Amino acid sequence: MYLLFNKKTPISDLQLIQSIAKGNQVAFRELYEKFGDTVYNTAIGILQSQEDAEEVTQDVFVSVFKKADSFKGDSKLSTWIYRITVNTSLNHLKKRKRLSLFFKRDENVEGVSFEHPGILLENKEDAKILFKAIKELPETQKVAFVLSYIEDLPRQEVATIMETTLKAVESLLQRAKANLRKKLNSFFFTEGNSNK
Amino acid sequence: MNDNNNTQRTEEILKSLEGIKRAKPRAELYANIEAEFNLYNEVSDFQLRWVAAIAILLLVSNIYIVQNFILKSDTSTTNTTTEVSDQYNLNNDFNLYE
Repeated sequence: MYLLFNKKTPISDLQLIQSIAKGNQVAFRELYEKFGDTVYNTAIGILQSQEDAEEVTQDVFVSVFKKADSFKGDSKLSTWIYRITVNTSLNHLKKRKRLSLFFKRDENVEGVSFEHPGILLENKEDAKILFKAIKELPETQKVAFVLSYIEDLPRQEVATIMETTLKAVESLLQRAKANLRKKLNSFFFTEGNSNK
Repeated sequence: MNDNNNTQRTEEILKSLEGIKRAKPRAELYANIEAEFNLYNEVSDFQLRWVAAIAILLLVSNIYIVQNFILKSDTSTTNTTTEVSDQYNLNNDFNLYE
């Protein structure tokens, strides 16, 4: 429920999105206030770049506005927005990969480990290593992991967003963790970081 | 021993996401999004006006063409009648058997 125009009249998800479809700027602002952080945090988890996450957040909200007419309220508004965010982020990753084939990106920039701004200070160094390993996960495992552990969503909601079953999500998470363990072990083996 | 250390470190690293807080975008980001939203709204209005203008132009030009066609065909019918009657009058004026 939202309070459109800051009045005390709560409106439903459907009403909010219908107002946006009509070009209502106040409704659009309200949607951003409600979901801006959600979109940005999901995108930053998948893309591991603040710049790219901002770009994706912008694209997601423009998409939401363009597609507002097609939202019929069959699913929760948050689920619909998560889906758009995940798809836009994955497309952005593909675009980045394609571009890197044509334009050689600066190796140093690519190699810089990502620092998530929400990580606790005492975990910063470990999280850098973990994000490096997450980056190498297959797409579906990465999405399931980010939604579960960075967005902290319940497994069932992750399944709804990914349009799959709860069992499939649990299996994806198990495989993701197994892959991360493997990657981290090989990282220690090659870098000799075990004693850090 | 080393393997045990590695396993322990791996588990520590896997737990480094515990207590993670949500990343928040820069405050200025909304200004960019809003600008794009307004631009898209304006473009839509602008496009709608163009479509309406073109439709009116087409309608007016069609009316003009049809009107002209009707007028032309009217004139040509009148001309033919005049020509025939002129000829008749002309013929009538001849006194062939006088």
